[in-house]
Amino acid sequence: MTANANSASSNLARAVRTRFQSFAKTFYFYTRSPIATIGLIIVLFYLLVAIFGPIILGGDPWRMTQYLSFHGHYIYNVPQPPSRYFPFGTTFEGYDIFNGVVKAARIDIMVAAIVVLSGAIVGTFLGSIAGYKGGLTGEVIMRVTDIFLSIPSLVLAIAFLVIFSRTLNVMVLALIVIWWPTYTRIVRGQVLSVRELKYVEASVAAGSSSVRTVLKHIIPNSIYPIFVQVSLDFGNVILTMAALFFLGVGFAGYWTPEWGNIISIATTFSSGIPAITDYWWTVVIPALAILILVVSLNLMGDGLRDVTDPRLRR
Amino acid sequence: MEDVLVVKNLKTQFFIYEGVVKALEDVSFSVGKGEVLGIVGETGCGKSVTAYSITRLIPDPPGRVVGGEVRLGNLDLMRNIKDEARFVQKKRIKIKHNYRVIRNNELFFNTIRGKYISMIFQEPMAALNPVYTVEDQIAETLLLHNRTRLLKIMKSASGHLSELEKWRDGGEIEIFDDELGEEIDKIKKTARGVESIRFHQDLLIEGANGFSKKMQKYEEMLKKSIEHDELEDRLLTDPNPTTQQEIIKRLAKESKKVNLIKMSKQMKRNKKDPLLIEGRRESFSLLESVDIPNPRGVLKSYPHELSGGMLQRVTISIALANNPKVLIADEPTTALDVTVQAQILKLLRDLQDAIGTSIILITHDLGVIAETCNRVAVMYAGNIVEMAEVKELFRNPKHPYTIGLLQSIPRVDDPNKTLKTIPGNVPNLINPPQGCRFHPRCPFVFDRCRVEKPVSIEVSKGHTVECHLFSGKVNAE
Amino acid sequence: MSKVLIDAVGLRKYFPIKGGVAGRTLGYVYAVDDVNVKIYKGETVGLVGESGCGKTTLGRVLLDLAEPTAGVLFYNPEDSVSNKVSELYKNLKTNKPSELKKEEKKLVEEAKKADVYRNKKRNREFRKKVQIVFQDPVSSLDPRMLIKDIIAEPIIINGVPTEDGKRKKIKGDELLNYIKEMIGEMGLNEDHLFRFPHEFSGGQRQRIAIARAISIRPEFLVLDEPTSALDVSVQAQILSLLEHLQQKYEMTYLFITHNLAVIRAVSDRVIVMYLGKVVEVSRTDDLFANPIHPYTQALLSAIPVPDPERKRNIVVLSGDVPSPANPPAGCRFHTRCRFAEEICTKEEPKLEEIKEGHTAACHFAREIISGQKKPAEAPKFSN
Ligand SMILES: Nc1ncnc2c1ncn2[C@@H]1O[C@H](COP(=O)(O)OP(=O)(O)O)[C@@H](O)[C@H]1O
Ligand SMILES: Nc1ncnc2c1ncn2[C@@H]1O[C@H](COP(=O)(O)OP(=O)(O)O)[C@@H](O)[C@H]1O
Ligand code: SF4
Ligand code: SF4
Ligand SMILES: [Mg+2]
Ligand SMILES: [Mg+2]
Repeated sequence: MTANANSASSNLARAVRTRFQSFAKTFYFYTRSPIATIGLIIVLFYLLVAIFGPIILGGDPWRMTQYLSFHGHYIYNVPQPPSRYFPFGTTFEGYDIFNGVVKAARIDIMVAAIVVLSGAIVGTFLGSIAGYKGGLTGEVIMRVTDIFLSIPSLVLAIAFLVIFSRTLNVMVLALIVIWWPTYTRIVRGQVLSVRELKYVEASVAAGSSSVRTVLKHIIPNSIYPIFVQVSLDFGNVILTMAALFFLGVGFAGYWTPEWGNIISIATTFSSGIPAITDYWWTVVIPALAILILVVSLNLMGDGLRDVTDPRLRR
Repeated sequence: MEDVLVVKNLKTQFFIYEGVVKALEDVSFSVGKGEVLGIVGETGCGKSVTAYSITRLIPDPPGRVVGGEVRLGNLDLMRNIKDEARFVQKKRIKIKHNYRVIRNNELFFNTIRGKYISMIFQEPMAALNPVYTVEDQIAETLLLHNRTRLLKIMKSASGHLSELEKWRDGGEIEIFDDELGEEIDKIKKTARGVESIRFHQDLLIEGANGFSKKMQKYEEMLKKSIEHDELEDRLLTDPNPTTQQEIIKRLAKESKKVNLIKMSKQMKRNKKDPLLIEGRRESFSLLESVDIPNPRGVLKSYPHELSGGMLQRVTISIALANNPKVLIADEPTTALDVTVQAQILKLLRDLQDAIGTSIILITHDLGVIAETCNRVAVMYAGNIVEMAEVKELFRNPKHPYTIGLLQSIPRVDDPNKTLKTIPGNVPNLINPPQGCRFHPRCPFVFDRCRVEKPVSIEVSKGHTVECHLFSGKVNAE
Repeated sequence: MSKVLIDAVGLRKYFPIKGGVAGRTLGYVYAVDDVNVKIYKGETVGLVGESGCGKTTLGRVLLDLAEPTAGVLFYNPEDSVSNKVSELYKNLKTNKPSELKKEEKKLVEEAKKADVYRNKKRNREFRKKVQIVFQDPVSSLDPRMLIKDIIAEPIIINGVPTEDGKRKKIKGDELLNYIKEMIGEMGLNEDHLFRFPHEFSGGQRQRIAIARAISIRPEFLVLDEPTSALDVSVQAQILSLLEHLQQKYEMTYLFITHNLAVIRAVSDRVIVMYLGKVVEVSRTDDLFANPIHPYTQALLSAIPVPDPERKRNIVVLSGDVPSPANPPAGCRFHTRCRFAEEICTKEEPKLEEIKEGHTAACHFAREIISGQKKPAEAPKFSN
């Protein structure tokens, strides 16, 4: 009995070790590109901020302002430049940009993750059906996908928000609706090529059902391009979300800590006077927060694409 | 026999994640003039790496030729290989390239490749550009390396215009004592049918006309081209390394000036360019010489429109366009059916008889070797383990590996043969076996094999073996 | 003679060529066209021909991995039924898929009960009895699976046969032990089970693929060029392994290859294919001693012999194999045949028994073997 248990656990350990070695090799190739590595580090930094930032900072963007004014530091309603108390300065109404930007990291990244992952799951599901089964079902799926892809995504999202309600939840839904078709298309293409490989036929010859073949062989071998696409899309979702807030469509309460929204506060309240000339930090800092993350995500995506391309793995 | 190409102690390695692949340990051989040398061995034994090392086509990174000599005439092609890169030992070995040296060597090798050494590959598509027609591609190599000859033919033709015209109108033509004469002789021999001769005649005359119109320009071009050729030939004949170095510098400077890609593009635009017209005629003639049916159709087609056998004929014609000293054929028939393989091998033999190029034929098929080669080198795990005349090797194989290989081939002509196997697998070349690399699979292995690498020993004239079994005998004698 | 195991009647597989607007069907690739094959229990049948002549497709159709355009497949048939059906199928002349389907409907009533393609129950049974090994050792193993999982897959799905003829599902340690035993027999060791396919050489991968195929103890194994991608020394290992396994597990092999030398070494009978048609069927020794069909003769003479002192008379076939999408009319070989006459361009030769146990499809088969008909210098009808 013990011998059996031992052998079972050592077998497991061996399987895990093999998979870990394979991962370590991939990681080595990834880190050989300094740019991709920097991208990865920055992304990890953002993730840390998103997870721990709000916990450490606590409170809301006004707490600091209120505290300071209570203790006699008079706080104007007009934006204050970066200072000891407000490292990123304040925007209108004494809103602490540092606090807002840090909290926004959590909301933005969470929304992007939900959107991209849901899109990828739906896309993988539909794409593998369309690719493996083909036929009428596949044709219908692809035509619907094409229709969605042909509508500009921003327009679709705005329509969604206007028709339903202008809340964060609806916006997440709208973004999911925008994002699944890309994945469907990629997965289908990938499945079409994997389907022709001999190990798939071997699995069919062994009597495997379609579902089993797709789950065991096709999806695991089509998934890498999806990873790459996910990391590239992450930034796009954040940009789109920021754009929606900035346009005022995603209006989910004035003070929602969201990067696009913080910019939008500056431009809305400055009523006519261009915020960027008088109070550059109210616009530049949240914009930089977006820009740096999006660029890093792209660098990371490129790095991922390179390591998953066997031709580049030397 | 005069040796055209001598390879000595060639050593090539690949620096990859898992470690250093010692792909070639110590490869030495030579190719005589007009000889067909076969290199045979199992997958991964280093046949292609040998070919690529000689032509300097090893992808870098990860691969590098780390030592050895390749002599073409008096020139050592690997003469400054050590200057190209340094190796830094860290957790993994890192290569620090010296890109200035590499760039200059690259310029120099562009001269060597295609002109003195040509190569054909297992996948003919690898050697062809999918977006150009066959004609463009043949013409391009001709313009790169064979300008002198083309210009000479045209010059002579422009001097003999009236005779050529008479010939076209049905008269006989005397054979001149120059390039044009040779060419006409060849046309008469190889051209298939009146149509084809007509095509040659028309293009010859058109080219000659173009030549006489801009006589001065082309004379000038010819002069330069001859100078250039002489320089290149001196490179191979001059025994003095410092002079060689100077010539290489001059050639490099020149090839920086003459932008060949731009030139061939310009020519393609100007369809009336006489050099291009002559190039087209020559391409046609080349395709005829490799027995392509409907050569005019093939000239106008793109690579993907042709079958594997046809493509291989096209690449052979390109490789032989400049009468190279050595043709390296890396598994030229492996991807083809036996019936097409028979066609291609026959073609190679016929061409070799006709033009006398030395051929290095790489294959894993001992049948192909037996039918095509004069001499064979058997490779195993980055070493040449046995080398002999073909008949001698098959009649009297010495190395245990060669014997095993011969015994494992199924024969169509021998129903009773029982297949013997060589146990085990080809070794991993990152951690190759110590001593004789064949020892884990060798039925005759003894202690010495595990520690000491055998050296090459001549067992009879022209028959060398790398195996300890024979070193003992020689010592005793 | 022993019992028939596989009897395929009137098999056809036409691949539609799609193109133009909205993927219209522009024509068909006649990959397998009216092929009748009988395979007897326990024998090894070789299937040869140049690439693109439909060998792989025939193998796949025989295992029901590709749906045939027409045809019937019997497994362990009763002779009376299969003979009757094959008589009926002789009348099936058309090569338009839509008409074929209609015509065939009238014929197959008889076969329905026994046909593997049309009878679900038979099909399920058949699946557990047949397996395939592919040519390409690189793409035939899933790169993201460990070797143990690759070999386990067919066992998990089908179970393993027990002594009383039933099948039993096994898992966990029992499964792993079973796999360990198998892999030992293949000349690999336990350590190999916990690695990925890319760590193995071609020969080792092919051993793994064979282990996967025979793990459920099939009765019929299609070997699609199992050694074509391997070196000769490894090829010899694999061939002897296959021979050993065949004896031990009493399997029947269909051995597909383009290498006649390998065929000679392994098979009892040979089927020669050219452009989707069977042109010659014979016992192996007879085929090599007295090839009848001009194509077989050319194929035999084209093989390089590893003996520099033997001067051979090579029949160099001119040109390439024509496209199977547009095969020559009459005898499909007539564009390259040096014996071809007018009749060959018009009428398709039937597969006839020329000698005992030796059939060929050529109008001049008898004249050619008796030496009355001499080959021309070059094919008469090459274009
Ligand atoms: N690009 C490369 N990267 C790493 N190793 C290589 C590369 N190319 C060849 N090798 C190694 O060199 C050895 C010889 O390969 P090759 O010359 O291609 O064999 P073959 O005799 O089949 O032509 C092999 O063991 C292979 O692993
Ligand atoms: N899935 C497919 N779709 C379309 N055409 C195919 C397919 N499989 C094979 N063919 C065609 O059928 C013909 C026969 O192919 P195949 O059976 O693979 O030949 P072989 O195995 O003898 O080389 C070829 O012309 C090939 O292009
Ligand atoms: S040196 Fe030793 S191991 Fe190597 S081939 Fe000779 S006998 Fe065998
Ligand atoms: S039928 Fe005619 S063309 Fe066909 S193989 Fe016989 S002789 Fe040749
Ligand atoms: Mg090679
Ligand atoms: Mg095939």
